[in-house]
Amino acid sequence: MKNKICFCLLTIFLLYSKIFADISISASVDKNVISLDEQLTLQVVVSGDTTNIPQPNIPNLPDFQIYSSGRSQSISIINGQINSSVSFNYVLSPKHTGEFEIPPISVNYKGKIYQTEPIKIKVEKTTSQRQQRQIPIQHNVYQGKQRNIFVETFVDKKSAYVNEQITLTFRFYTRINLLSQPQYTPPDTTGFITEDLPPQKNYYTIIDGQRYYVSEIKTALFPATAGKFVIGTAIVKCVIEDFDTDDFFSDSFFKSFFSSGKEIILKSQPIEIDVLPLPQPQPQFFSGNVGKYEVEVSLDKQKLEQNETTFLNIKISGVGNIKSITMSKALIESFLGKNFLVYDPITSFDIKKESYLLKGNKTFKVPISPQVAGSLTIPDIKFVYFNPYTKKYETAISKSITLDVLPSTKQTQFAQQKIFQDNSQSKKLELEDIRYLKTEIKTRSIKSLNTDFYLIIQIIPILCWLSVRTYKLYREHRLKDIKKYRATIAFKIAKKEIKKVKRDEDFIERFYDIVASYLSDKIGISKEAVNIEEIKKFFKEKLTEQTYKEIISLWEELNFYRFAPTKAKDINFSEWRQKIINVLQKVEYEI
Amino acid sequence: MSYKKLNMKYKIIILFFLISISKICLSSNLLNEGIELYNSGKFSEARGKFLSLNNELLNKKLVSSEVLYNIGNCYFRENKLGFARYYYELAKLVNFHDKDINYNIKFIKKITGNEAEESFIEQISNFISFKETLILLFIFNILFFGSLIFENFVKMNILKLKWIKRISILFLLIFLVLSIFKYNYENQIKGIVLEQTDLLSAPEESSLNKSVSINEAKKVIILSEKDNFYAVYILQDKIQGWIRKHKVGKLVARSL
Repeated sequence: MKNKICFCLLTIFLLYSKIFADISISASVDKNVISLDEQLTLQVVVSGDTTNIPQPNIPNLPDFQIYSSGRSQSISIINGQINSSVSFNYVLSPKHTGEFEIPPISVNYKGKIYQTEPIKIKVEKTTSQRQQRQIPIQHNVYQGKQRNIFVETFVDKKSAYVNEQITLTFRFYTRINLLSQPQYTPPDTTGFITEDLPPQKNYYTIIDGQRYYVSEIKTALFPATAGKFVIGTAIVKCVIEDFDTDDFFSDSFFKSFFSSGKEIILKSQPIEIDVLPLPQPQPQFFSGNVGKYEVEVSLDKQKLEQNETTFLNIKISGVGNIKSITMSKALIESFLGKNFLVYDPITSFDIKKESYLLKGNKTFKVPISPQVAGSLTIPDIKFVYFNPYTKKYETAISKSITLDVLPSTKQTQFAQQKIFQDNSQSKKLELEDIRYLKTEIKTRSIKSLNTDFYLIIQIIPILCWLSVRTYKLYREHRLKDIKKYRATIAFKIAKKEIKKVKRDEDFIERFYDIVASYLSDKIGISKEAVNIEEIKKFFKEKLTEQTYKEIISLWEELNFYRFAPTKAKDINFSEWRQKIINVLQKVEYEI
Repeated sequence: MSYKKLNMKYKIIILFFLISISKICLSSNLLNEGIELYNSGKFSEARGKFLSLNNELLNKKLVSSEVLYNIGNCYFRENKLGFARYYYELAKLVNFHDKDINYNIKFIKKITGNEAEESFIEQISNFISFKETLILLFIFNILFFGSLIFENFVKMNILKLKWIKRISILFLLIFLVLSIFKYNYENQIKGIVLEQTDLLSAPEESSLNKSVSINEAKKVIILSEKDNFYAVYILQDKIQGWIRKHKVGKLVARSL
């Protein structure tokens, strides 16, 4: 029950707050006293707990010319409560001197009228001192005891033709330490095409005996249409030390301990620009290009077959808004006539911004295809532009080019390229630009693109060679003491040889040979020199009595059967073979 | 029972066969539809078909240079040269020697004024891919070290072996140098500027940082990255700066 009551009360409260949502309006100017050649900024702020902020009604101001310089809105939602504030900015330019009053500015919201207080303005005559360019007084500028930080914007000309470059310069002056990177919001340039003019310049300058660090940004502006336009205010937000210079604690020692920083917003003055219309009448082939240009024409191929395609390169270079240069297919067709089929041009541009002037070139690659054989001429290509320096329309003309067109050897010499529909002949043409689509696909595994395997296998041949080399060195090392080496491998060779002996051979003689070789390797003498005395002498101390007897007995038996072959026929081959291996193994083991 | 099992086996095999056939048909359908749309001048729709086909292949861990090339062609027709070059370069990663891919890349470089991107050494080493260089290096590796091993064991005509050794060591050194060069080149992460953008002097969204305007389709080396920015070196203009990540297409096989 309690919950229900709470819910009802909350709903009533919310409805009440929604129905009785309130707004407020305030107006301010950046200065109350101005000279006749100056402008003032009128800012009307309408705020309230609604998102639908109404537009203020600006009263008739016959003593001023008034321009809107845009609006900015901020919305905040705190605990579900919407607070919206819209700032409407106007630039007022006085028509004559005197004391004037901006009447109350009103806003009508849900039938209720809200209005501001009237604002008094004094317009003085232009003094010679004021006519000199001074550092403009900033709106909302942090002043401190001295002008330590401020911004300014200015243009190289206040009157320009449509599409003529106006260079806007923004400067940020500071002679105090900043506690954060300044955040720059460029001015509103509605009505202009903008192009940045890098690089940003940083330098020191001295104004009124004070040394300032200056950051300068330039922007090229190209007016889109004729009329009066206003370049809005540029804003810089930054955090500065909030110590007063006369303060006892302004000593750098204290600063480092107590400085917390203070965010300030710097704004520049809006600038009014008078954009002049281009003179009438405009000549033929003029398509709105303003600046100073030259035109160059070249062909990719000057000798080709009928219906074959080549690129006609029209390069327009000069000073002006390069990006906006246009050269339509229809215009090119009108230059080339009926002897050529013309397709949509491919455009590319190269822009340079040397000395803060936009210059460069724009190239139109036009695929063309000669329709008749013979010696054809690409006539002069005319590029008409308005030169703002001479205030006249001028024409850049290219040199004509001749090309030899041979009769077609094929019925349709069209490469496998882009397909165009030729409306006049209703046939499909393919051109030499990029290559045609792939009509068959082959797939491969993504893993196959990995090259790690091929990197790793490079080491295999090296490892093999190193292994072989190591083994060879090891063998060479062992062969240095041949006697020892023979003794080491004696049993291995003997065992191998014994296994090779066959029953049908004169096996006793073979066994004798093998045993003699083994013993000679062990004793370190030649095979012929092996006899019972040498064996006894060598093995007596080295073997156990049992093994010693066995080896002596084996040697004597082998000698006996060697010289009594008839008796040897009765002995068991396998038993003897095993017996020799066993005895030699024992000897090997004990030695 | 065994008969039933056998039947089941066949059913599964037939099912697999049918699924794979239908997938192949779907792939070839997308390709044909894309080609038809392209031929009728509907490049954006054609691109959609080729991209679907590419995604289908990627799901199967496969890649096709032809599909990537076709996507590049569609972008070219839409006058999005940055994207077009990006897909051609991806296609080149898959099929290094394809004449059409190389021609189209050269063509875009020509019309966007990016012909001087590669150094002289890069240009002359472009006749062979890194993988092929490694394969040839391996072959001459085997020949050289094989001849050294052979020398130890086989008493063959020493004169013949000497010549094999000399020739193989010569080519081994050539391909070793080429491999090291290509390895360093391949290890640089490269990218293509997809759309015209600003080159910034710091990785922050501020007009104060603007340095120059960069045209689309330029090849860049990605040096490092921070937040939403790549530090890049622009090969054509020989300048360095920061570009927003979404304006650059990374050229690595993994990005396929």
